[in-house]
Amino acid sequence: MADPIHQFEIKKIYPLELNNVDISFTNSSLFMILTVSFISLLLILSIRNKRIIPTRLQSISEIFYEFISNMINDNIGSKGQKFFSLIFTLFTFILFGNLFGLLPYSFTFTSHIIVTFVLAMFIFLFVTLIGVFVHGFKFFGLFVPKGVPIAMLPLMVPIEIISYLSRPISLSIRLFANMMAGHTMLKVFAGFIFSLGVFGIAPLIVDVALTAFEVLVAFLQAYVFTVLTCLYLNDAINLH
Amino acid sequence: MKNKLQDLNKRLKKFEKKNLKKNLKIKKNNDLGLFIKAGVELISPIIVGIVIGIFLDNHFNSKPLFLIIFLFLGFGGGISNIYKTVKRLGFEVGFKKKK
Repeated sequence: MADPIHQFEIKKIYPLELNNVDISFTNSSLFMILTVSFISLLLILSIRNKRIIPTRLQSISEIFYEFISNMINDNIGSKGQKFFSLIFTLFTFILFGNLFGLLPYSFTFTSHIIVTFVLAMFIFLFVTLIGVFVHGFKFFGLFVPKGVPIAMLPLMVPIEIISYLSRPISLSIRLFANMMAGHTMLKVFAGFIFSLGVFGIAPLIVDVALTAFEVLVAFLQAYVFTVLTCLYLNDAINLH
Repeated sequence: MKNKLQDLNKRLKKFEKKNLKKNLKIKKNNDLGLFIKAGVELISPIIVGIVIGIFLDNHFNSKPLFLIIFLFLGFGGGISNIYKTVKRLGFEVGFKKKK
């Protein structure tokens, strides 16, 4: 039977080394570049001939724009429009990364925890810096919960700090686990198709259904990742 | 013609005003986002606690004192995350209520 984990293997396409650090061009980097160039091409081509009544291609990018714009308005308020480019980039990068990963013979870079962790860590540091920048030292006052007796504070403040520090972990694990589990499951069922002979039709049907489900998961996880980024930004900007 | 333009202008202004009002207040209807996150939110503080504990233990050569302390703080953090989710206090740190 085919190895279901094999699809996550990182292959070096162009070996590179800098100061004994491996910075090889891998299949992961290839698909990141593909994703970014696809998004750029889509957006550039779709707004090349701007029209009041949009063409099909133009309406795709308009839908994306309005979706993200509404998401920011709902979660941060109009103050958050400053961060539109960040949220938009994040959403499209994760979404198309997930979707490209569903194509046969492709590689899902969001199924590697280091990729999602770096994304989440970047957001975490960015949000913390924004909070400190906007509110100064008052931002750290949030670690002191209101309505808690002073005797409990030595216990509650470390708990709150740990729960704050856990944000990048939960953000990255959610995306990584969903993508990896889904792709492994697809491969496990695909492995049954040939080995079962005629009865392979059953896992084939399951696989077709799972592929549709994975498309849903790809959208949902990209959405959840960006919504949580919006909510974290909301905390930092509209401090209570 | 002029009348029509003025009418359009009026309507545009009205629309803008309405939109601005809508944009200023934050809707709190993200139930989906709130509950999808719950499972991972419970365990991630525990991971953070374990990592901090092991790091401090290696630093001070005090195995396993800090690991135990931070493991329990991690449990607390997980429970506090779930509490915030269930009580819909939003995602802010601490238990401050929105006015």
